Amino acid sequence: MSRRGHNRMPAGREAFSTPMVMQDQPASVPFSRLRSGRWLVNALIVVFLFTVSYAINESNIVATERHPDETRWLNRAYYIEDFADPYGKTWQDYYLTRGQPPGGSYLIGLGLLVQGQPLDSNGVWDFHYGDDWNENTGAVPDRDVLLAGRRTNAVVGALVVVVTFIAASMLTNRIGGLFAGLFLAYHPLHIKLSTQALSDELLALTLAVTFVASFKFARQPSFGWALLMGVSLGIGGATKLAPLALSFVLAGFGVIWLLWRHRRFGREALRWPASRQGIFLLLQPVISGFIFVAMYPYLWVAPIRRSLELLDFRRTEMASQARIWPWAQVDNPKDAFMRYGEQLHDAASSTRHFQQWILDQLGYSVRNPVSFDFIIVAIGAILLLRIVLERGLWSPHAMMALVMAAEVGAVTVGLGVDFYRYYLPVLLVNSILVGVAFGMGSESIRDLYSRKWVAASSPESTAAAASWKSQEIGPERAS
Amino acid sequence: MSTISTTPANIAAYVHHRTAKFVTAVVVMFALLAPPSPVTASTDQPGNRSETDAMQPAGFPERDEDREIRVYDKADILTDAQEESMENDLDRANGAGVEVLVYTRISDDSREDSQVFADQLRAEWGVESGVGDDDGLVYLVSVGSAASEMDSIVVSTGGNTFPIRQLDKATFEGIFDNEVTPQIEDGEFNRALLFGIRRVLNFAEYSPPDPSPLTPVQDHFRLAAAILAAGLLQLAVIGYFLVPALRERRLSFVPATRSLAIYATVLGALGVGTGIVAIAGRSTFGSLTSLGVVIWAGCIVPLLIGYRSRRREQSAADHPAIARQSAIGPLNV
Repeated sequence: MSRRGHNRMPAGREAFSTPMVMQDQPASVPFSRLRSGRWLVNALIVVFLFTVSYAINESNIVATERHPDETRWLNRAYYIEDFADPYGKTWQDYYLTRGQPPGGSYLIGLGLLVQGQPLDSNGVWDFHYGDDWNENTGAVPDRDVLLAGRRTNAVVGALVVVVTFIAASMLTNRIGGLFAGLFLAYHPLHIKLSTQALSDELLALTLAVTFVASFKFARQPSFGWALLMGVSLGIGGATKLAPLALSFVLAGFGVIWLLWRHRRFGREALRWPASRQGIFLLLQPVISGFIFVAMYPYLWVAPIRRSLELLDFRRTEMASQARIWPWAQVDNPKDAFMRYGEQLHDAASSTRHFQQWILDQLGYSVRNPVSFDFIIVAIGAILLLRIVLERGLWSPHAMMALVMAAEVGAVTVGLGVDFYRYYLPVLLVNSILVGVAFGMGSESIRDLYSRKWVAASSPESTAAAASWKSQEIGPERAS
Repeated sequence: MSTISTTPANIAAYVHHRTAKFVTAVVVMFALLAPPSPVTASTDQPGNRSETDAMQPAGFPERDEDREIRVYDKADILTDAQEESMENDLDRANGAGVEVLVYTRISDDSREDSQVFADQLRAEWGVESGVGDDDGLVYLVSVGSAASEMDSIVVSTGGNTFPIRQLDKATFEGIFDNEVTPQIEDGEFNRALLFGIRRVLNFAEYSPPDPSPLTPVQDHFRLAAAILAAGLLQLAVIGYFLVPALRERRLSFVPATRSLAIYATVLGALGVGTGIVAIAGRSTFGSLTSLGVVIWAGCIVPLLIGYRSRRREQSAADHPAIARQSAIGPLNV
């Protein structure tokens, strides 16, 4: 039996399709359906997507305009070195350590070290003053250092595309995954953030890994997947704080799961190992919290108090940003939701970018290419909802959908300022939804084709073939 | 009733008086109709040396009652916008705990005399973050009345001004000599002061404070943490073999899952304990060792346990007879 849920065929299908393939035409089993063949095809797609995405990013590294925030991340690259001195001056309580968790700084530092660049190339950019002043006072890094920082993110951005492919493939199929990866790789916002020395792509990577781990965990609730989920949320939290909220959502889901099991199976359901899934979900805040604190020596002295201060400081900073740039102020979640349309459909669009690229290749020019992004995303969302309803609340699909929805919810509620980089997690979810739309679309086409093919080759199977639909799959068991 | 004498002397005096009144009236009229001086007409242009010369106060100046005013541009070398921007910077510096004051004047004093004036200004005007703190900083710009060669800038600092976070006196002097003074020589007064203020501000806001020294209790914890961490490291290695040796009576690189679980639980608990002691004593060695041990015991060993369990379940599923046999055997641990 296939390991992927969507290929878990109902009895009806196995009854007619397996013998037909195995007995009538054994030589015609597609290579891609063999286990080794599937791995090879997947590996080829992964290499293809990584190459495409990295090539796009690399070609934009020089062209992307400089953002002052890049200088801040490059300035703090030395954090990776100073982790070895957790009680030294770097980790004392002051503006920079309170300003941002260090995950992005570690990444940039690692990238600079790998590329042989210094970790202390520039001073601190002071946002109270303009470019001239900051350039004069050494707050701008050398070009080589800037490009090395950007190249680090170009690699991370390409990895995000690969993990997005894996996530969307799990929800539907390889075609869905491929489209999800391409959609993300060609999205102007993703390209921009993958070619700036910022921390947002690392956040996206940790979120994408969390999506995949949550799916795998719901399928096989082992400590390994629970650990991966918690660790990626912890690293995400040490990059941008918000993913820590997801760990509490997962813990809440674990409580609901345990209550449901208790109601259905009695006290036996709460004993180990029957309760494993719920317990591991409950442990998510502990695992992610531990990783978050472990990565952030500033917190070691007083983990809870300083974490709360950190959250408070971030809130103040966001309010201050909204005050300085009133046009960017986001009043409420509804306003945030409306801005998704502006930023991810109107201002930057994969479909429009792709049209422009194709037309450029063909030598045509169109004045106003049309964006289809949100139409596809909306279709994907509806189809994912359908999958979740069909497979049940405890299915891996539902688990991944829950984590994705929780992340979008966290961004929507927490968005205080309309800065382009804050939309990347939403774009990541959108890409997976695009993958769902294309994956389910390809399933429908395949069903249609197989029905016709079966009808033509075996008239007596017509009735069975006509009555089968790949999307109609029974609900999965809890564990 | 008085009568006016018509002697020649009186007539001459009368004519002189009328002429004087006429001239005065004409002068007043012209004064009223005359266009305003450049200084009052354009508030965003600094004045020049001769016009502002007469404005210098006699004796030692008094500080304004409003302590929020920290820029005293007596030489009128800054525009209003520059003054406002500088006031904002000094306000920020005050927020960061550094009290800075700027004073400009027209003067041909020597550098030594200017230094005396600046020190006196800092002391008498109470330029410090709190009463008696003696940590203020005064920039005094003296503009020569006739020639730019006489322009100078001096800085007066208190006994406790430095260090400002990571800015020590030597670093400050380097900034002053290399970035501030050359600007004065070029006649860039505003720029010189900006370098002087904003460099300090950058250190005050964006450089870390020094860690506070350890208390005697923390010193004891530090020592204890170092000893515990050294022991923990040894236990992590030896315990891996010791637990199965005691439980299973055998030495193995791949202990049974239960032995591993006992090992991980004990080691993890000891790691957490040592970590707490190490944090209390600010011990780098203790903290990093504990962190490594907790990750080993809490993440890697459980993964090993999971892997071993899965393999056992798999082999049990593949060979039910062996599974039944081992289920009652002594090695089922």
